[in-house]
Amino acid sequence: MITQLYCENYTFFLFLVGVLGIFLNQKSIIIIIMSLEIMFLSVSFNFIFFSIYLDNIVGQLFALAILTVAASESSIGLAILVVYYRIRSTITIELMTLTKG
Amino acid sequence: MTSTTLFWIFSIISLISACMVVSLSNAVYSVLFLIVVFCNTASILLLLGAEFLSFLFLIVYVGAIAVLFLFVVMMLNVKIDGVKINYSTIFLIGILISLILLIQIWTALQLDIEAYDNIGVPLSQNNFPTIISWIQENELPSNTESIGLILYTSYSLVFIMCAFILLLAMIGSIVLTMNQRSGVKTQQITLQLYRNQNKVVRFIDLRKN
Repeated sequence: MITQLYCENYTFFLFLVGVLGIFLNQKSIIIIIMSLEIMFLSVSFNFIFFSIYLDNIVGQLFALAILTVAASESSIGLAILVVYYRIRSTITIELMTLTKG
Repeated sequence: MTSTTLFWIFSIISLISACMVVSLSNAVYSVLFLIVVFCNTASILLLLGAEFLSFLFLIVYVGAIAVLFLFVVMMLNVKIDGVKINYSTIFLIGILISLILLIQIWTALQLDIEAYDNIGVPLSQNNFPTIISWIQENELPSNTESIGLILYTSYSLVFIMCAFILLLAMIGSIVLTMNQRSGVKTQQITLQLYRNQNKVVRFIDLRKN
């Protein structure tokens, strides 16, 4: 049987991998958007798990809303990335100094 | 195979591929491992019994977001250039953040939630599935039906808000990526439509001596 602690640990480690992926990564911004997606996934998994655990359907609705926000966020982020690549022809984070002033 | 074994397999594969997403240098392989993470999480959701959101995750994450990532990665043609990273400063921040998260989750786990602790597919000790009363299963509303029953009634405002967010994202990404170049000779449809055939075709005297 799947207990509460298993799912908790799973979402916690998935979220941790996402957070560390943002902080330990300096290569390209596309990896950062991917780890954001992993974090969204773990949070919505947590919502769904607790909606099943506490027998309340509202958590799954919140997961649906998170799914919408994740999809729109990734599309806008990738659009900004494409525009940035057109201007600078690189997406390395080290060289992002356009708004430095 | 019990549901616990399946849960272990799916979660371990998912966590390992999440680490691969973060650590790999080639972005195409990262996107492929991201697809593995999404598929395994959807299977765990299927084990838990949330069928609608499991298939929705498969459709939206794998079918839309991962394909979008692959499209952008292929289009940008990212070169891997060796920028030297000072790992010592970043590692400290990483350890700090993971410690904070660990403490928060630990305090959250101390809360005692009064509910049943065993969920999932009921299987007997001898791995024979228990007898399912299909008449009773038909009577009960399914997961999809119970989501729809409250999504379109009490939470219809949330639904409309989701629709507006998606519309905003669509318009925003179209406006961002559409580049209007000036000074380029293109086809002008309005001028073509306004052209009158009586004025276009006319006789010219070539030899007017």
